[in-house]
Amino acid sequence: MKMNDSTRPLRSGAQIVRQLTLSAQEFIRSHIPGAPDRKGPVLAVVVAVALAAVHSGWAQTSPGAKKSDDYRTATVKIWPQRIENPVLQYALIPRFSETRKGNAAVTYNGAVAAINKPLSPDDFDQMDKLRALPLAELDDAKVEDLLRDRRTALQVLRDAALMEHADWETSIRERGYRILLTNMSGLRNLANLLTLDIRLDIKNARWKDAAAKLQSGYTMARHLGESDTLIESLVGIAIASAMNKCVEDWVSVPGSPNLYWPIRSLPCPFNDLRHPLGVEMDMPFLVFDQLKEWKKGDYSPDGVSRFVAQMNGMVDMGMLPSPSVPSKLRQPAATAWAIMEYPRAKEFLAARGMSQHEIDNMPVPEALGRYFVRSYEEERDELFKWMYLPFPSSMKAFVQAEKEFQNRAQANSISLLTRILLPSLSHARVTAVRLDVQFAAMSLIENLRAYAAEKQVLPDSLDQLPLYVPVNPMTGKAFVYQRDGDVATLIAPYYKEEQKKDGHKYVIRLQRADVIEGPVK
Amino acid sequence: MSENLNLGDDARLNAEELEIERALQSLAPAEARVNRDAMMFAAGKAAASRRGVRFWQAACLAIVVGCTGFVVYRPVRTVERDVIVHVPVAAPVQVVQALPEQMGPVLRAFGEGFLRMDEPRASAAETPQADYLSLRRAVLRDGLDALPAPKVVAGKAAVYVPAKKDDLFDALPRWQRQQLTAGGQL
Repeated sequence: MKMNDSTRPLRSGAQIVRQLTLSAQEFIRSHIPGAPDRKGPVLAVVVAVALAAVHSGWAQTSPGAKKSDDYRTATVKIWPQRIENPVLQYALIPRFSETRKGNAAVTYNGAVAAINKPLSPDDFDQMDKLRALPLAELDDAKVEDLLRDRRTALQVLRDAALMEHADWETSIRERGYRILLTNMSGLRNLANLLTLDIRLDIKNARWKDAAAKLQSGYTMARHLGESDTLIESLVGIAIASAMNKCVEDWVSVPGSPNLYWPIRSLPCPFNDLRHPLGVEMDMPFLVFDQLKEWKKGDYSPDGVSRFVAQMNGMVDMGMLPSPSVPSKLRQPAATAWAIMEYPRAKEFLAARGMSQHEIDNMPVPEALGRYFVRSYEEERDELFKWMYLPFPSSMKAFVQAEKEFQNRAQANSISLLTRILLPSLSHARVTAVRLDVQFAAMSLIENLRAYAAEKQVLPDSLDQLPLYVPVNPMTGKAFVYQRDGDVATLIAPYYKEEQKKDGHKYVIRLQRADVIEGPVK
Repeated sequence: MSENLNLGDDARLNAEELEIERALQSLAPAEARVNRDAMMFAAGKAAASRRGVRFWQAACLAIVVGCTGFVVYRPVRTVERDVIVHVPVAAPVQVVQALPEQMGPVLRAFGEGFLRMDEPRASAAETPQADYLSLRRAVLRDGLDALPAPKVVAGKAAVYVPAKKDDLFDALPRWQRQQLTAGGQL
């Protein structure tokens, strides 16, 4: 279940080839002393391309390679642990009595600013390594070294997490798409540092400290979920997912308190995206004043030219991609585009029950204005409506609707405005539900720990578990559970069950003091 | 008839003709039976007939009546003033309808060029100050790895590069913005 949530972008193919070329050149220089210099680079390129081909193709075709259609698998070692009273003592969200009034966003920005020592590329590498290491191999000194000058930031982060609410003040009503999300990278870096700190506490069995820091992480994720934009909410989900990795570490340490009830006490869905989706739905009306006028029923003769000017203004500001015409000719191009849209607008209005007489006598700007607004609203609602039904019963229909939308967009039968402004939401929705799958699976694992503490073995089926067993939020069906001795598999299939590689699989290995652990499969 | 001719004619006249000539010469003109004065009087009398006068009098009367009518029934005097009248103007439907089909290749190319503006462009990760739309598109397509990283100078510490003064101002909390604005510092 390795999640690549590093803030650094992935290397492109060109970068890989360049790196391989340099490596190959170095290899040739050092191993073939007599090789002429002119042929060196050519040979290096050939070697690099061959290596890249092997890297990308061979791994998939070789018989021994891991099949790409396998589940996303995480191996979790668990120690039996009964649930102790008070059952919510390790709450994962701050209690009301701990919170205080205030806007957390201001303090979060302060926490980002409090990272006295900015992270270097080496720091990023070190951070990735330390987060990926098995807990037992985590080097305390290295973690402390990384956190030394950043402890203040983590303390300020804790202060922020205790605030009652977060108002990120993105000025989205005034600025629309022109908002800047400059604090996202900083918050993600903070969360990554926090996970290291939590791992260190877990490794050293400092449960209270670890739980308090988990609270900071989960609350930051929730606070980001209160923001206006989809991106911020998704960053919140990624941070919560990173905290879940820490919980996997938690259950793997003997004597770790059972978190069944604290996990169950978390909101479900954790971040439901409802608010940012509402913002996304209306975003074009925040950006294009002319759309607002049309929506109010004001169809002035110069409406289309004003709208075209606003679109061009967006292009000038870099908000919209540049049309493939020279900038000097953009205005006539836009006007030509508007004229080309007119017959489609007439067809659209006729299909909505307007009489031919009415359409023929309608001024062109009015016909276009009605078309732009109404077609956007229809397409938008047709997609967004599925977000308000439970995931398992609506996702297939949602994906189908999105596919049809894409087809219509490619066939150029949707207005340009709708095409460029309507976001593709299926990935965002799956990302949000994946987080809930993780929570459900973790509460099941804690359930298994409680059972094992009592019976000394894993149950044969989930029905034997003493506590509530959640279903897979992605399918609405029970998790698939199989037991083989002290190893059990818990599978949460993807909503398209045939698409195995997108489902989750937890290999759960029960640890006991009298059992010497073998190699993980 | 001339004298010479008469002489010549005499010579050529025969006897019978000469006899007629002599008979004619013997005729004496009778006194006129029409009295000139009576005739002039009769003409004056005829000219003084009332029928012509009546005609002209009737014509004059008609003109006078006509003019009087115009004077009595003259049109109401109009006062000029500016009045804004909304007249619904039919859309130039036929012209615009025909345009997409009749648009020249250049104009059509313009319109289609504008339509191609939504072709995907470079990943948002390549542009640290990417706008929201590009960023959203990239994140929804590629996940959070598409978010721009802080600018990193090779081998050195990461440096956050602020965009503009306005952006920094917007990044401040509301109370601080209000304070700065009220204090006239911005």
